[in-house]
Amino acid sequence: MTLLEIRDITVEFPQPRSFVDMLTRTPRPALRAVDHVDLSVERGEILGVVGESGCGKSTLARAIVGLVEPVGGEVLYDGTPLTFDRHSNRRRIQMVFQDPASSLNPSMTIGSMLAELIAYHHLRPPEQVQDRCEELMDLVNLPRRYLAYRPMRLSGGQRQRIGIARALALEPDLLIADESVAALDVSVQASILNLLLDLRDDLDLTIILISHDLAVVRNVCDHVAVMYLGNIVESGPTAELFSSPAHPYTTALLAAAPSFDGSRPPGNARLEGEPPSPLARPSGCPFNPRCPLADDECRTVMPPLAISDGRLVACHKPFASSRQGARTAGPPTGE
Amino acid sequence: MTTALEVRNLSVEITRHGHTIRPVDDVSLSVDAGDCLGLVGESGAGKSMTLKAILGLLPKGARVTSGELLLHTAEGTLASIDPISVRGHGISMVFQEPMTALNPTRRVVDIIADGARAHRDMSKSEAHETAVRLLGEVGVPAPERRARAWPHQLSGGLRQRVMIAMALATEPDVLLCDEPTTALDVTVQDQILGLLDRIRRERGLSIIFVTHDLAVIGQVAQEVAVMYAGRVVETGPVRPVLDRSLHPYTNALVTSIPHVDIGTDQRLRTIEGAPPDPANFPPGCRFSPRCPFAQPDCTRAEHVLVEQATDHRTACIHPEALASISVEGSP
Repeated sequence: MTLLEIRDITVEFPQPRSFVDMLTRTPRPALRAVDHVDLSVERGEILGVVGESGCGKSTLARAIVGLVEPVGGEVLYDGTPLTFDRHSNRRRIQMVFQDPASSLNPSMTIGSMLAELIAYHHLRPPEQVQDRCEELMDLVNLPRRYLAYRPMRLSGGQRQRIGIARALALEPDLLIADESVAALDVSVQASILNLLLDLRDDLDLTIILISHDLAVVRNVCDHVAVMYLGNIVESGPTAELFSSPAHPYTTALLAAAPSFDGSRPPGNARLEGEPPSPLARPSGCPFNPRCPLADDECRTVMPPLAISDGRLVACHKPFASSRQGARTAGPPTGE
Repeated sequence: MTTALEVRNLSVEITRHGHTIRPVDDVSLSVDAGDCLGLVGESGAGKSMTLKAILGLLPKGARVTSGELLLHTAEGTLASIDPISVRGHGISMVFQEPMTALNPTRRVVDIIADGARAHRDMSKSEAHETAVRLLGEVGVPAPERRARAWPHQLSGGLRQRVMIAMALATEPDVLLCDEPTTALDVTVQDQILGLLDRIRRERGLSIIFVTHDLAVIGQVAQEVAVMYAGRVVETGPVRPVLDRSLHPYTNALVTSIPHVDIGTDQRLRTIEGAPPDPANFPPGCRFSPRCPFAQPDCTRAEHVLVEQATDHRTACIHPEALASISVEGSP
């Protein structure tokens, strides 16, 4: 059953303009961070959104929770559209941020932070608030005495658990984890990922996990959507997408991921350059300037996100890159 | 194979408010000419502090209390040297955050040329030519034009390339890399790792590569040293150390990381507890409070690296405990 459906959502940020432009009434240039994205999330699944910095994955998440307002499109939650005013019922969609140190109020104790949320939303009668706080600490596997602590006394992993408890306090159905493990050490990262998996099973949560780390997504997510320059270029079930990527960008991302067993030499992806600025979007397919398979069609016509062999992919030549294999896909670059 | 750089029994102490802590404790490392040594560990393990000590760049309040630094000389012997005399000359460093490490008030070409002129006898125009040539060598497109750019005009990947060019300008024998790709995206990281690997092979450079990412180590390093709580706990050639670890900490690290190539479809293994506070290290083996194989004598164990297989040394006094579970076919 579909829990969340994103339809044709577009987010733009207006850019500053020069004094001359202001006098001549030239319209403000806009940076399009998310460009006509469609995405649906099934109840109970973990959906991974991957991409490099600047691809719009965090902006998409912020649009879903209502922290930025899209210029077009709509978000359907359980079949009803969400509005973007402050009083709409977005309590059931909660977010866990990347940096737990800067997203927790340093001057409040953990207990008062959680209690304030529960009281504001009238989720428990006042006499039960304390019990609920203790219950939340149990959920995220932290000792109850930490309720009296301030965030400064906790380690990075413990703070991230508080970030998760804070989100769970509002009893959400959908949790959006925006790079929630990126700032943590590997051993702590594993325990936070395990916690998210446990919560999905115990509380029947749906999770959108936003990450730049393909390995994390590979191990945790049921479905994956790959973003590039504000567009979703490919999405599908995790195992299938990783074993036979349909979009050349996905192929390149996988080839670029460091291989633990040393099977891929460094420089394997043969991908030149870096993602272009969203202010200077290339015409046609956004990936065409870096794509080894690009031809004239790719440079002029934007490929739509369409089903090809059971995979949603936005490419004129789906699966061509993985059939050729990453190593022979590109011309030798001398590196 | 000749040894390019050797660090013997290095200890670093920091005194603050009358308390002395020792974030680097009796660390010995060596890297062969033309090889890459990976130095792994979690934050606070002392890996960056070790690199800084090698170059004499320790922060205020920290001092080297013991240890010796030996560098390969033209005569083919290892000579004991002073960190400050080799900084930039025989040993260069590539830092993690390329924005804060590049001078924002100087053009790219001047940043590189300054380094070259400070250490090598050359004229301004020679240094300028060298800088442009190096920019081309590290894969900066249109080097003549980019040489005139300011650091803030470059992307993260290009800045890191400029950092590498700057480190190479002094023609070092050993390059120290402190998490050079941590701040970069995965496709750019792949380009930079490819670049470092290429210049290592072309120039016969030795690299000490500090990272917390075991997958990167598996890709670029030939030798690896694993650090935990200020000490090296396991060293050896990269494949045996990662595939047949002889220290429970290395084993725990390896099994706790997610892999791109194989999905586990199950919970990742975790390490119980947190790394110890440097002000209060546990006695004996410092990993023993978190170790699933710990035995009573572990808390009295002396820290000695013992060779268990060819060049493969571990500080664990019960490596057989780990060997027995590996045989049973755990990851």
